[in-house]
Amino acid sequence: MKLEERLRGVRRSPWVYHLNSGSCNACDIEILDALTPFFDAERFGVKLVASPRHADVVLFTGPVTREALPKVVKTLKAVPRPRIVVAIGSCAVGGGIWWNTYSTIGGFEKFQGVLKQQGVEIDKVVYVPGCPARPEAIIYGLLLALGYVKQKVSKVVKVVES
Amino acid sequence: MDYTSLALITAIPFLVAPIYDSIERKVKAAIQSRIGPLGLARSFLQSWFDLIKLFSKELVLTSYGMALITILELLFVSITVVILQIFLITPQLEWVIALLITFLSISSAFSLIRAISLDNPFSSIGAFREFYVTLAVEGFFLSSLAIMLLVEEPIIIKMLLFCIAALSCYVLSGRTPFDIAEAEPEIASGVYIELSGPLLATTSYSLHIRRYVLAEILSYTLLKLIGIAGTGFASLITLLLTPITWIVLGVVSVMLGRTRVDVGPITLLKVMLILIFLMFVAMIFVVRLV
Repeated sequence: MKLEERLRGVRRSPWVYHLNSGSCNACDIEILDALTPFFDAERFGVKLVASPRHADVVLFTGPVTREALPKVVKTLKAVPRPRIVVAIGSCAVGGGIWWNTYSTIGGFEKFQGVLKQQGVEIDKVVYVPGCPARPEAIIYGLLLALGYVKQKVSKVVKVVES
Repeated sequence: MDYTSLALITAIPFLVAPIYDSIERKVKAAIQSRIGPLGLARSFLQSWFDLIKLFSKELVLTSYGMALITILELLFVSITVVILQIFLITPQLEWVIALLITFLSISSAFSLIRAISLDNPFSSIGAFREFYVTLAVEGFFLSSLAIMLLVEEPIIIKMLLFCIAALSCYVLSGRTPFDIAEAEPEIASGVYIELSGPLLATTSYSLHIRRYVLAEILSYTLLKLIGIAGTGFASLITLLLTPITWIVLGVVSVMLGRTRVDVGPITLLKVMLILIFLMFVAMIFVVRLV
């Protein structure tokens, strides 16, 4: 079965797993908020699961600390394919205020390099910025990952010359 | 009864069990002031969507034995539900009841074996809890079911037996607070922790069918209590009553949502012993009267 077809299957029943790679817990509280009855994510078939083996989408927070690195790699390896990651919050997006500290990898983009070395493929990644990201933004990011809404902005890398 | 009708009646549980589960989710959402799975298709088919998705996922197999046990569990639960449907069509055949009880206990045993077959510590905790709950309920359930279906007894004993059967059906259907074997956030899905993709789908499907069996047994015992079981009309009523029973059990689980999972089994055991004691008192009373 092709990846697109498998992703379509996930679209109707996305089971999410919450993975904290060393965040300050602000984004984690917002994730819990996004999954409460107030926002009712079950409308889209979303279910919070407690084992990475059951997950389709990983709600990823934190800048990936060096202490958490092996556990995070192990956890993502345990998620059966297709693997979707929603990197939530400034730290997960680009490291936030920890982007160049000695003790962190510096966000999911850099972390993907480590994952490639370990042979862990991520099929789709969506970035949800914010410090912390709002629950509405988290749900929007999830729907973006599942293909319910289209991406409004394209990725542009700007290099500022000094 | 012709073969087409027979095939249709035996196929019903396999098709409708996930649909009843979807409806239960919708009802639970309504109780919690939520919308739940959105749209008509999701309202009725969300659990089917879950199963189809899981079948399309990658299978991460940690042990071949676990896979075999999971498939055997589904096989025995399926045999149990087929026997139950045959019993509904021909309630006068008493040997079918014996067969039903045997296969019900075998499928339950496979569920326990699967729980202990993993060397994951979370699974071991879940397995221990599963054993505790099964020991507190299974024996009482099967014996009360056998007495209720095979023997004609006074109404007071019938009522007590029905109470035991109803309580057991709720507990064995794995609803709050007796879903502690998996106790999702607490022990990382417990006995299900290592299952993934098609294997998890097989287990979930087994659970749906098991819930159907228990809901149908409870519906039938209710009719038996009222005294209208054993006819073709009663069989039809049982089939119609099953989704209602399923949803009632779901509503009870929402009401017990804040119950502590650690005190659940011991409270259950106490209630069960009280019911058994009352039944013995009633039996002595009836014997003295005779």
